[in-house]
Amino acid sequence: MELEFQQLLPAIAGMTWQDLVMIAIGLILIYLAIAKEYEPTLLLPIGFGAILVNIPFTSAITQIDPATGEMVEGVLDTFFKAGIATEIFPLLIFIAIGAMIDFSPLFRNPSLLLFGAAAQFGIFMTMIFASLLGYDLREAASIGIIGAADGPTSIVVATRFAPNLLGPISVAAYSYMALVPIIQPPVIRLLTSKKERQIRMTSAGNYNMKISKTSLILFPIVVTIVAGIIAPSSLPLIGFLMFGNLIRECGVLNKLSLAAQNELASLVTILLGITIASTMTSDRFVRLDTLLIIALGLFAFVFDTFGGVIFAKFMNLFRKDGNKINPMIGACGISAFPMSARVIHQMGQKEDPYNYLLMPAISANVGGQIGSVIVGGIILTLVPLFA
Amino acid sequence: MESSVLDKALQIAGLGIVGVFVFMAVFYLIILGLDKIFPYEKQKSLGKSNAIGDNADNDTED
Repeated sequence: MELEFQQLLPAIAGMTWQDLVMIAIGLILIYLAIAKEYEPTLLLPIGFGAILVNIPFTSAITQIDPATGEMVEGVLDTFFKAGIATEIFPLLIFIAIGAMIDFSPLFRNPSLLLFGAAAQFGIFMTMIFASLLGYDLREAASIGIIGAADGPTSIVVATRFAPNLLGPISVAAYSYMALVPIIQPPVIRLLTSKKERQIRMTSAGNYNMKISKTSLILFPIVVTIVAGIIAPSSLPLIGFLMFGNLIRECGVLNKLSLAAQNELASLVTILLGITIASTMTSDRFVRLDTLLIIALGLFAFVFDTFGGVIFAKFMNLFRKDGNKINPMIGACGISAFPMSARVIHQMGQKEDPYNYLLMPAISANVGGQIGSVIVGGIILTLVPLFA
Repeated sequence: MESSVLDKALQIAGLGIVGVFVFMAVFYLIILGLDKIFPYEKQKSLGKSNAIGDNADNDTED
């Protein structure tokens, strides 16, 4: 029997240029993860998954069996339904993140918590801009949330409001988080003078202050109750984050805390990354929309930085000399922890080698971790009321 | 149609920015309250050090 080429190697015969573009994108993400170490825990599985789902007739995603004409569900679609559509994977990641967060820097300088609010400005600016570009409200909110600089929050919001855009939103969120050291410094330099960047924050907070264990245990419980009362929709996000933190701080679940920080985080991250890739098929990803979303993500990060820095300058209007805030600290109000704090500390030392901004920067950065989750909850609450 | 989406987006942005500041202000007050009610000194009798150090080097994957 003479077999045709198409029957022997259907994948090659069925390959389109769009599939090749997606495979190239997958390779680029793997390169960035390995060679540049840009968020390798997420970008590598996403990159590999992008290759996996763009080989024609791949059975990793749901396909119609050409022989029988029946629908055969692929394993990545099964993972998607079980882990992303139900929001289980991102929420499990929140437990892991909660177990990793140390809130004591916030107790040492609680006023810096406000930067965790100011640096969410980009989310709302981007949402407005996306709506101007013709996206509907749910899509615009999902695109705006890239500015949360918080992958799991972006995934939860996009899954709920714009599952069709989940792939590009996730890739943009994780890519820009890795690019914080490149995105933030030029924006900060544009908004601040050298003199402002040299402001020392020696009087800010008491960083030798010891925090009582009771306070650290009660904080996640009280925050969950208060957040739940104000915005019940925010509870899955803030509740899982705070649950992870309670496991960490309670002092009697050290084994669980370590498991959440290590095994749980690693396992769910592997599944999350490769499952997100199941949405990155060429027919959904190779579109003008994708480029636009990636551009809007950058816009969100730039305006987050803008919001934080300008808010710091605004606060300085009411502060006396010697008690001013270095406006660069405002940029740490994003959720990319501890990368943003490190970037700002290094920028400060570049301007003045004796300026030590790391501790206030970390306080603001921890505030950003809470702020991003709160904004996610606010958007989940408000958008259905208006849409 | 588009202008109504824009109007709604503006309203959500306004409420959202105010909302996140309100949340943070409440959390700020919670921290001040907890710190006042449960200062570190009163915890010393619990035994081993209660101070939790900074874990700034822990990348939190988010």
